[in-house]
Amino acid sequence: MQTLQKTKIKASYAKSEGARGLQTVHFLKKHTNRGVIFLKSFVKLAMLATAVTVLGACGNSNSSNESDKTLTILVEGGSPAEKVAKETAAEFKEKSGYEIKIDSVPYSGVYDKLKAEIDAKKATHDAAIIDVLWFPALAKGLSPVSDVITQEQLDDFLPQLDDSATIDGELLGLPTWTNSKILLYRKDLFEDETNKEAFAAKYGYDLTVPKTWQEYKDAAEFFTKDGMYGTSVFGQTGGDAVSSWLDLAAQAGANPLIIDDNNKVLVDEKPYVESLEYLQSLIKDKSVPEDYLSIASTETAELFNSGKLAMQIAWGHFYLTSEEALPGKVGAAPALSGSAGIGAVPGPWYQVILKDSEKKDVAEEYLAFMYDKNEMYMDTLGIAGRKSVFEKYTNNEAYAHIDAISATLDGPQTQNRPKISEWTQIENEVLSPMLQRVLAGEDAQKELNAAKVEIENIMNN
Amino acid sequence: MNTINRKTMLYFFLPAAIFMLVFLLYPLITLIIDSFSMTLGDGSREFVGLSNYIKAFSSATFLKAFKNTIIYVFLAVGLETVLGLFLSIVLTHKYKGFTALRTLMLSPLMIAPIVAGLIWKFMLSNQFGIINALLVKFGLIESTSSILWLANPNITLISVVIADVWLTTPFMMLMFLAGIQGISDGLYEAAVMEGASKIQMIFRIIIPNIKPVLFSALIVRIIDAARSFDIIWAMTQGGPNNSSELLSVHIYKMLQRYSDIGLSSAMAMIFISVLISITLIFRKKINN
Repeated sequence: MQTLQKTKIKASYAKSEGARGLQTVHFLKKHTNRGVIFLKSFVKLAMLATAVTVLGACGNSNSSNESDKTLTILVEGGSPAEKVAKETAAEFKEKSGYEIKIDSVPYSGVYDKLKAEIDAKKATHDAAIIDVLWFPALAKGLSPVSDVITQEQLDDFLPQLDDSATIDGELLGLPTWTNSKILLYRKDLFEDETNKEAFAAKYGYDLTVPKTWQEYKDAAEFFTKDGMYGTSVFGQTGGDAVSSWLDLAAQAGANPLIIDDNNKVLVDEKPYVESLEYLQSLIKDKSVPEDYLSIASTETAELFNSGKLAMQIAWGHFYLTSEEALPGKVGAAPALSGSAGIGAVPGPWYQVILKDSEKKDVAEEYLAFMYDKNEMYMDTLGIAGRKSVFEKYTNNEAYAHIDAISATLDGPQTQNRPKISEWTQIENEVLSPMLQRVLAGEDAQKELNAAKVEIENIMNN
Repeated sequence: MNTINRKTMLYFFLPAAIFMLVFLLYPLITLIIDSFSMTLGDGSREFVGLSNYIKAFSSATFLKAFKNTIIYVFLAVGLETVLGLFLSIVLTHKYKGFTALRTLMLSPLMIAPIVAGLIWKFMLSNQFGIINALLVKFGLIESTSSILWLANPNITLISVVIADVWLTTPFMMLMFLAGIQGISDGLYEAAVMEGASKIQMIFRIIIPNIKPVLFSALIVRIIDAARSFDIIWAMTQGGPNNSSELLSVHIYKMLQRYSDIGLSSAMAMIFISVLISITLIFRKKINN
């Protein structure tokens, strides 16, 4: 009986608990359904917001919004291009009503950004200042500029400058500055009487500023003493070292450089062998720092400015910083003369307009404006792109490098690198590693023969 | 009773699905298509089959970069694991000044890889760098030109490994520290009572108990090390003579410098396949 009562009580209790449980479930279901409906709406709203944001961002991606009065320029960060662009921006705005927006990136970033824009056919910049090396690869995305300036202004280009920027008969850039490697040397060491006597005694001729390969080699050997090296050899990975070697190849008679107009590869010929063997001899003499495989322009300039080098073959504009570091002690002379005469590979930079820019007319106005301001690059960098500016600074002691650059640019063997789109690949994948192997001791002719095959493969691909 | 039905679940998944489609699947599919194509001058693609893959495997520079990547990963991750483990064990013990020491050890993590690369480039310069200057001062080398860290093709890869180890050991240290702090004190007490030495405690207690953390850290670091670009580019740009060029640098040059989209895509696909295989192997080990 008691068991039955207990069971009934339990059953009743269970029933009420069950009812409460059901009530809880109904409550939860009701509010969960509401929650789910709320979440559904929220998700739909979130998706809509995302879609609107993405589409809106896509629509505003480039500088070609006609309602904004800005012109976007791409320059190398920290370069004279950036400095002069900033200094002239206010004046251009006053003249044209357009604000100059300057985008500055590291050297390789300029090429990378422009390449990406041109390949995507979508310009986020209207104009840029580029290295001459990049013309073949970027040409398809650049706008011709021969109508931007007058014939008189075109005639004011320094030697080689119109040729460097002309691709398929079209002039694609206006020069900002040109440059070449020249010889910078320690005037005080060369003029020292003790050095003069010792040199004459050892080498049998007077110590003078080197003009020939032999004079340079002897001077480098002579000045390697007392914690100083005579000079340096560029062996760092990249184009700077390759162009340094090509200067010597040109001086030894190479013309054209590496590839001719019929795409015949010339790299295994005598001038290239001779120039490599000459560099090997400087290393063998121990006249250069031992870490030549990590040295190029910047490192050489640092060594020279810290008094560790007696001479440097450097880009002309380095004269100003060297003279600042060693006041009154730095001299400048033209590039060396090999068996074929003075020769060098010029390194100009150009102002260009992007074909896909929607403000091409304003960009053209900007280019013409900046061409008139070309002298500002002389103040900032010590070099310019116009003959008239160079002539103004000739015989100026503070710009002693100008005469040396002019003489080098006028040299019989001074010439540009091949204007082919494969040049960057040939330079980085073939010539740079090959140069490094030869400098490290490999046989020059053997390496050049192998390089010829590699270049031919690249050209045929 | 289902409170959330299948349709609702799909709605929840939709934003993530759109994101994955746009930023993961679409680029991956484009990469695969590009790897079997050649891009012509006008931007159009021409199907070339396996030609790009054959070219990649026949390229001496690609194979050299592949080999360099394996060596780099093996050395860098190996050293980081050993050092990270050692430092984490040291830092589990509380002593005076350990907080300051831990903060100091974590400081490389705050530095961007490209900045670290530039710092090490200057430190390893034999003309101006502090490393060789100190080694000469302590009589370990004869002159600052005795070791050409960035100019000797035989040791440049080791130089970039050193920079990477300095930069990333704190990450491994942090991971292991978290794992070690999860080990019960009772295990140590029992080990002490049984007369275990410090070395035995490391190999019999610490390492077995942090195995999941160890494998997770290893897989993250292997993938990260294989993808290294900034440090290499800042220090050597892959030279001299491609001696420090990793796959990431090589693929970058192929695509960005030489615009060989097909070949660089094929190389990237090979690279991704290798990394996915490694990830799957490690995942199996973690699950076991």
